[in-house]
Amino acid sequence: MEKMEHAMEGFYLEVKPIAHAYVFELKQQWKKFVGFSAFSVLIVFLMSYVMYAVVPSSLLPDTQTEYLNNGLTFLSMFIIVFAACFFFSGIICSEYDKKTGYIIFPKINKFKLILGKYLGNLTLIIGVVSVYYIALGLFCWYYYGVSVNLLFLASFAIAIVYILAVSSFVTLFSSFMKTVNMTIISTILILFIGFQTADQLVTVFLPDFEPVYSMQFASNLISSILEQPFPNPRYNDMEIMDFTFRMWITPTIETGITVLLIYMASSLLIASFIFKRRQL
Amino acid sequence: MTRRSRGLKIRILSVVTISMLFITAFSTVAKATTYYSTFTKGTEFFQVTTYNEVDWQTTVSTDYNPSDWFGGEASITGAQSKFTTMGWTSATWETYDFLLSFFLTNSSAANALIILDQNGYNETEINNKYNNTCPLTSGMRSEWYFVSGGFNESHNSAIDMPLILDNPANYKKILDDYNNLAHEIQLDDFGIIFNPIVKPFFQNMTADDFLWQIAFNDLAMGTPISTYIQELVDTLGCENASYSGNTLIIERTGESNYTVEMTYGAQGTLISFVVKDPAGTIIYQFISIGNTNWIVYIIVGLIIGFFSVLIAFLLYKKRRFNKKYR
Repeated sequence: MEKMEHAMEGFYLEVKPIAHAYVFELKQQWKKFVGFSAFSVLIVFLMSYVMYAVVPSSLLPDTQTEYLNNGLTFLSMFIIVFAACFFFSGIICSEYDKKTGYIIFPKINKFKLILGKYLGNLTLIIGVVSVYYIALGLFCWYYYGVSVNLLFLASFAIAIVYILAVSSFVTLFSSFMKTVNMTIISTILILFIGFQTADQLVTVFLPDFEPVYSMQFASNLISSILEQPFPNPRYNDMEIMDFTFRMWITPTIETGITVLLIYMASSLLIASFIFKRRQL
Repeated sequence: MTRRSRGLKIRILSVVTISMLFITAFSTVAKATTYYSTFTKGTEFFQVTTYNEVDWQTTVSTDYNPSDWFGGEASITGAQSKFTTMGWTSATWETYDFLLSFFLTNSSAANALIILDQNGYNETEINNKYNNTCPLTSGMRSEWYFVSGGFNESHNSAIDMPLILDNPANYKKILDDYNNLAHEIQLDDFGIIFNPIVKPFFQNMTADDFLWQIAFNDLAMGTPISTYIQELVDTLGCENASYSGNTLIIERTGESNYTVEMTYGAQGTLISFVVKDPAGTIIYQFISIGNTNWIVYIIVGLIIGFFSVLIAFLLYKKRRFNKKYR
């Protein structure tokens, strides 16, 4: 019994600094959260209300799945990427930018501090995405009279896995970049231009190769999972001047989730190594 | 002008502009003529509340049942259907458009149209001869037929197009043009082979039959609905149709006499369909069980709530800060 109490107390002491960092981060970043949430609602409002309700001749998509697909494509392509870049870019590099990372005997274990900050930002970004899903779900209900189904929740679950992957990727860059701004710019460039350029090169030179390496390709799963039945085949062939281009629509559910989890695990692992070396 | 009063004016202007946007757009009035359409994007649900099969067979028909009229499982009490209004446009239709939309709705009429086209009755010639143009609002809806279980993801029909003619008196002109054209075609000779293909599609149509046909296809009412129905029935000169408020009442004869009452809702589309026997007993009925328009209030409420909480929180923080440091 006493051992148990000791273990519990030890656990509490271990977790306490993480919880403090977590709460501190929530308090520090809440303005960003409100800003991104308002932006999410505005985007859904513009896409759903201004586009369809204000312009009578602008036809609603045929089915609720098409409607949700349009909305979720914007989420995965822009909102999650931008939010991850803005929330996670400073997670490690700001410690060195503000010299707090160089403190030799810190009051709080630096890994626990980073973990607390990571979880805090993760909570906020999941909150932003939740706001987006709720707004989109409400408008879908308004137009189609269809309440949220299991596939919509599955899409939300995959969006969380995608957030984990993107946030870890940004954390990796934050671990070796000098400033927050540099981290934001470089990650946005890589996530927007880098992956897309690579995807296009693969489409041209290796048309049969499925771009499973691409996080953006994996993010297509967020909207594709809503389709019943799941897209099969998962590509469209386009013939232009005797050359067949294969446009991949989505990875399989298993592949997509695995790729995203690999991105998350490898990014966090490398980030922790770099962070440890940087302290030396 | 002081900076403060200018700021106040800008704030008032912003609130007024946003309010106008909300009020007008969620129920857009398509046109400001005598009658106007009030389509709203969203979904309307219907449910079969009554179906007495025995009475139907003794009164309406033994050959067909409500499913033949409305598709799906319309003959099952409790079955539900829905319409999603996807959009609408304003247009001006000519005689040929109405010919296709109101009279030659059967797909087998395609052959008759080809033959007519080769014999001097193509679209341009028909429109030139019967140059009656009608401004209207054409809605676009997708329809899910009546089902007793849950709805499929995809709708059943291609696109349902309820039409609201700006002037209900134009229905009379459309019918007259059609009857004149039908008369002309009946007198014409397309050859011994083609006559039986063309002429059965062009029979003289009474106002009552025309009203019955359009009521089942594309008829929707402009607002104010009661006067629109009144003008429609009176101008057409129907003998077996009447009106009561927003309800169009049509007397029909099947196995015996029966009455069909069609009520039109705020959007000008059908919200209730009732078949009654001569004693007034309901044989068949489906009604609207609701639409999704009210959800907009939840959305607006949540947005207002979100910003109210945010402003309240900011004010609270500011007050606490002032209390602490001043």
